[in-house]
Formats: sequence, structure tokens, C-alpha cells
Amino acid sequence: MNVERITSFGVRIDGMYIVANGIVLGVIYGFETNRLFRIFSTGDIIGLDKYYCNIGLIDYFGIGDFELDNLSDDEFKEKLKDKSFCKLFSESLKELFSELSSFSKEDEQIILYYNMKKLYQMSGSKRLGLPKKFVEETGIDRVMTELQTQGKVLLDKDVYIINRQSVTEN
Amino acid sequence: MKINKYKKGKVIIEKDSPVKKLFYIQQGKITDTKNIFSSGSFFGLVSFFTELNVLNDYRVLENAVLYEYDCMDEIPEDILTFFIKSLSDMYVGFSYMSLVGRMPDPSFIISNYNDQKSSAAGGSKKDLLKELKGDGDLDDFIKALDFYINDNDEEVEIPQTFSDFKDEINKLLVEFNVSRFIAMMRGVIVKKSFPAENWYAFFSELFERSITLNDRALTLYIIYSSSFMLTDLEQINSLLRKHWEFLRFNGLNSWIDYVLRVHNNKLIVQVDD
Repeated sequence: MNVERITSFGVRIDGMYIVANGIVLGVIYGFETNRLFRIFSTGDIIGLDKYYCNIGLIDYFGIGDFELDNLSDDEFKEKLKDKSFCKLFSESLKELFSELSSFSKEDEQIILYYNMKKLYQMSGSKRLGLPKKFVEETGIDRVMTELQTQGKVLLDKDVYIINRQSVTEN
Repeated sequence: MKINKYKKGKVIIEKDSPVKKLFYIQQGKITDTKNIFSSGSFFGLVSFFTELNVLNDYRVLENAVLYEYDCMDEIPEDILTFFIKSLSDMYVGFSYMSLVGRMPDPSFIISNYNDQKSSAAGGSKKDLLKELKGDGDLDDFIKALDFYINDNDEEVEIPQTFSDFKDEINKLLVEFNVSRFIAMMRGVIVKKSFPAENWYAFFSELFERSITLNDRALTLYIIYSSSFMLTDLEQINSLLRKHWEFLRFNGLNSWIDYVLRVHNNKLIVQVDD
């Protein structure tokens, strides 16, 4: 399974991206622990973080087959004048902020489990998981191992996937 | 869009009520008791988009003029930049505060990123600058800043009086002799040649001239110099406040923060207060 880096932490990003098709993973970097903080899907906008201090603060990775539409900063502004785009963008922001609001009260294991479940469910028949190499390189392996110990995820052919039984139970 | 003026103390959005509009602060300050929102920013964005009620009153802290929009597509071109910046602040703030409990710090990011690169590939700080290539504007800005701070060893004779020094600096700016301008400023900063009371009016004038020239690196250098030469923190605050819109628009606020943190940690802590 292919995981491809889209933007890099600490680096200036040109324009914005709209997920045209597929799934994108968002990773943030803490002082002690990193987090797979969100699963983005078709219609979501990624790269909004770059306006905070002119460099990317969140890493985005496309997983499996995915397509992105690139928008320059000016094109993004132009789109914001369009009523139908604004409606879709508002819905995307509603989901984003609602998820992040609810995460603030949750343990990191629950957040990772939620995102693994979302990845599994949104990937349809492909039933995507996270490659072990990606999990180790992004530093989310400690929490993933805890989920594995609890039987919530399984390691199958070097890919962490949700334990279907745990999805049914939840 | 509506423009409304509010007096200090007025509650704009009551606790436990929804946010039905996008509020842009054209002038003044608003607080939700935890945060202060200043001119050039939007407030109440999360509640507006999630349709959840606010947890605290949003109250006017300083007499305010607000632009109120019913939806995103009403926001005009000149305010869109501020809207996107406010949205980005909210997105980054929510992501980091909710998940790792603290906000990202640009100086930490740069040094941490540099450390990661160093350990992975024997890189140095220059590697970060290479990574930043591709954005001509930022690349030029960093090169210019490097020149202002590190690459200028020109020897100059410092005038005896402050008045002569001012004349000389003004002449150098008119000639756009940046190299000599920096050498002169650095000589004065290092030797602390003139008393502190001379500096506020001088920096205020320089600040305005650099903005007129629309020179981002020069503006940053003047802020950087003022943090050394002005001993009254209120004066530094006043300089930053006076031109905050320009600094925000040019994305200089985080760089200012970075420079001040690195070069004068004590000052920035007090200025933040």
C-alpha cells in the first residue's frame, strides 16, 4: 500500500489542495508525541495551516489511490466568492471543527482508533489500514502498539488494520 | 454586510447563544474572557461553522467597529486575506491545542526541523533555507534578512551628534545605500552611542518610511533594532500596534515574534503581557 507525502512540516507550501478523490492523512508534531489527527476525504481542503506563520505546520499524506486539485492562493480567494464553493467549504469546516472540538476531551488512543475506523470505513471495499513503516516514521507507533495490545487493531502483512470485530462491538 | 459601532463593555454575542454572522474587527478589541481579538481578525468562527453555541460572552474591550457578514461569499477581496488568516489560526490552534496541548512555535519548528534534517542527513541551518527555495518572495526576504544581520562588515564613522546621525541615515535611505545604512545602525547599536530618549520618534519615522517603501526586510530590521535601543516597553508596543495591520498583512508578525524571542527573550515576554 502506497503512502505519499504531499506537504512537509516546516516548509513553505505553494497554494492549497482540494481532495478530488481518495483519502489524505493529516499528521501533527508535538514535543513528546506525534498524532494522526485527521482523515481527510473527497471535497476537503488541505493546507490551510500554512497561513498561520507562512510555513506548513501539518504534514499531509495521500494513501492508496488519490487525486488532488491544486489551487493557487489567488484561485482559492477567487473560489471563496462563489456561493456553491462556499457552501461545500462551510460543510467541510463544520465537520473539521466539530471533530477537533470533540478530540480535545479524548485520550490519544481513542483519537487514533477513531481515525483508523474512519479510514477503514471511508475506503470502501479497499478496507485501508496504515503501513507499519509509515506508523514508525511518523512516530505514532507507541499508541498504535497500545491499540494492538487491546485487540482494536491487527498487524497483517506489515499493515495495521482495524480489527473488524472491534468495529462491530463499537 | 453591515457596519456597526460598539462601545466598550457591550456584549456582541451572549454566552450559550449561536453565532449567526461572520464578525470582522475593523477597529477595536473584543474578548471572550480567554482570548483577545484585535483589529484585522475575525472572531466566533468555530461557533459560526459548527453551529454550536458559544461558551462565553464576546464583549467589547476597546470601542469597536465591526463588519458583519451573513456568509463567506459576502467578504470583499481586501478582507479575504484576514479571513483566511483567522481561519488558519483557528485550524492550527484547534489541532494543536486539542491534540498536543500547546500551540506551535515558529522558532521551535525551525530549530526542530533543522535538528531532524541534521541527524538524518548531516544537514545544517542552510538546508532549511534550501527547502524554502521555490517561493521567490520568502527566499528573497530571508536572504535580505541574512544580509541585514550577518553579512555586513563595512566600517563607518558614527557622527558626533544625534541630529547629524539622523541626517546621515535619511541621506542613506534616499540614496538607498542599504549597506552603509546597516553599518551605521549597527555601529550605533553596538556602541550605544546616543541616549534612549532620542530613539522612539526616530524609529517611528523610520518604520513609516520602510512601510512607504514596502520593504519587508527593512521593516523587520527596524523592529529588530528598536528592540535593542528602546528601553521603554510601552514604546515598542506602541510601534507594533501602530502598524499592526501592515505587519499582519505581510505575514511579519510571526517573524517579529521569532526575532524578538531569539534576540531578546526578556523583552518579548513582557511585550506579550
